[in-house]
Amino acid sequence: MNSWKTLKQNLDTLVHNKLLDKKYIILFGANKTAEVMVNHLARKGVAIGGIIDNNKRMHGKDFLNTVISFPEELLGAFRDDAAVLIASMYYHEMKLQLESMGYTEGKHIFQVMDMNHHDVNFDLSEEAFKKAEEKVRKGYEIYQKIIDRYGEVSFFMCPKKPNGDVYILCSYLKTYLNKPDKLDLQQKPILLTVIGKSAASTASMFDIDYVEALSLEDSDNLAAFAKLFPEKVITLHPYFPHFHFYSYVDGYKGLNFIDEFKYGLFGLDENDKPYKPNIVNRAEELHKLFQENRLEPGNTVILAPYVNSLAQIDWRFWEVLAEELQKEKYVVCTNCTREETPIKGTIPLYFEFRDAIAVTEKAGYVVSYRSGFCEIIANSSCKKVVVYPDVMKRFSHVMQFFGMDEEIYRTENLIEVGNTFGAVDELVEYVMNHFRRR
Amino acid sequence: MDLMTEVQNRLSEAYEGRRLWIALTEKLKFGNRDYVIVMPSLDAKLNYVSLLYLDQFAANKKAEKIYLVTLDEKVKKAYPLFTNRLEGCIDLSEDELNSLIKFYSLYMFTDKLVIMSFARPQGRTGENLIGKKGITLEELVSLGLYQNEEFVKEERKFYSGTDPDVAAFFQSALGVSESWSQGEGRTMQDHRYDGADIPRCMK
Repeated sequence: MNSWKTLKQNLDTLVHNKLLDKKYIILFGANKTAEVMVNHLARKGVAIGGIIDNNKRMHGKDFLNTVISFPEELLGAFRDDAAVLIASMYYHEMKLQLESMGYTEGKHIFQVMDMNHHDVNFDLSEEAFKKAEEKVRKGYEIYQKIIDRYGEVSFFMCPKKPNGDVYILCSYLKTYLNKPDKLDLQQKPILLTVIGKSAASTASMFDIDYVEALSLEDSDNLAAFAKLFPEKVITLHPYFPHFHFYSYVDGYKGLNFIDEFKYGLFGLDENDKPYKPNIVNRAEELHKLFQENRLEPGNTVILAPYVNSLAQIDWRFWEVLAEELQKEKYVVCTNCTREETPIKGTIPLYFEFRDAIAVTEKAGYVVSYRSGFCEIIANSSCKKVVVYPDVMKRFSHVMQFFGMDEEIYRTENLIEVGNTFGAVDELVEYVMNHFRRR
Repeated sequence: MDLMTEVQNRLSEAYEGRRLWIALTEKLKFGNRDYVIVMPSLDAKLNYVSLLYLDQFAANKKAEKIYLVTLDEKVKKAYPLFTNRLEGCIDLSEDELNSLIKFYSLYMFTDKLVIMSFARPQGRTGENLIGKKGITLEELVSLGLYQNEEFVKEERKFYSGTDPDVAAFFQSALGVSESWSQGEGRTMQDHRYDGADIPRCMK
């Protein structure tokens, strides 16, 4: 993800310019960016002093072995050596909060990444307006190019990248289109734009007439056009800033991510059912994959540690788990791309999304961190252990908010684990209880 | 009209919204803790709930000055019965309000503009959540639109005064839905309407 690269470069600049030397380093916001910052700074030999967050539901929770505190707790008594690092779309408000406590931007407060680069920009200058205007024009050109290629279509876009989100969207898109009041949309072929080839592979499993993979930049430009022309392009994502307010009600009264798509975006009811993706079984490829990697049908555990949108857990968990599984005579592999590093001692395993269900069913077992991969294998009958970080999503725990005890997932062999354990070994032990040979 | 021309028209409208916002904030000497609440809807129930939870919003944001923009004349009359936190209402025409929202649709130029609507900017769909998992309109307004951290239920306000517009506003808001069951939460703390309370709108 390019933004992580930018974040790391910005941190490197702070370190290089010695702005963090002998400082009491605090991260504001316990989120995915904080995880990237903690890990990157650790690699640079820079230790953080604490993590602060205004969300009282996160207060006291463990975040990468650091307890989350309120800003007042760590910074209430003024510390001139404080360096507060912020990468949040709420930077402006956070800065004001810290300034009211006596801290100064540039000396104590550092914005390590502008998270509002596309949709939020508290800038009223002509230049800012022209930039936004330019995006709309580029978005118009992309729209026109697509229309020229496909003709009149019912045009939908998923403006966010995660595969899991695309999967959920596609699960309900046809249900939505089959509603009697959507006749006008039904009469034209359906076109969906997504970001990247991986998301396109996911969408292609759902019999959508046309799936168009866009670059992140093109998708952002198209989204800018869609904001001014919602009657031309229907944008489908609850976190499409800054139109929707779903993120502020996440988890309220048990409202989960799927509800936000199903009830909120699509306006469906409890009785409306999702569509299942087409499952292929390419027996020859499957056989080849198992043979080449020496995988044992029914005795292979696929570990899926990689995640883009949630804070990662201690990597040691995966390494210890792999060792323990191997002691129990399982073949252990890591589901990773060619750019990602497999877990130490495991077989790197890459397969296409359309084969994911067949591969995991033949392998027998998956242990996955909660990521879009869990949607890709939503309908696999393999035994699935899904690990969630111990963090909140506004009003509920991530395990409730992104939980898989839902109609789009097969749940008969599903075990969900919230990482509320004090130590890695305890979490490994808990997971291993589901794998010990009798 | 061809699409490219329409693109230009909408951008021009957004530009007009920008000009308007700059002029407003300069005129009002807008500060870091000042807010503009926009109620573009004529839905009495939504506007009633928006007014009912406005004080919580003001307290949570530690707001200093709050201004109201609405096209609903009844809201302009009724708001003093709900809150004394408003500096007043800004009198905008429908076109001006539309241009402001169009500018907001182009990009989020401020977090000091709060649009109390489930339909605007066009494309919002949050109202579909009302009734799902027991979520109420009040909760969506308080948590979703005002972004309050927690839901603290406000006692409803009633009106037994004589101003026909204000009475009609309360009647429309409180009498149109079964979900506002009769007498529920009623405290009898009726607000007497006094003609002297009519707010003056700023232009």
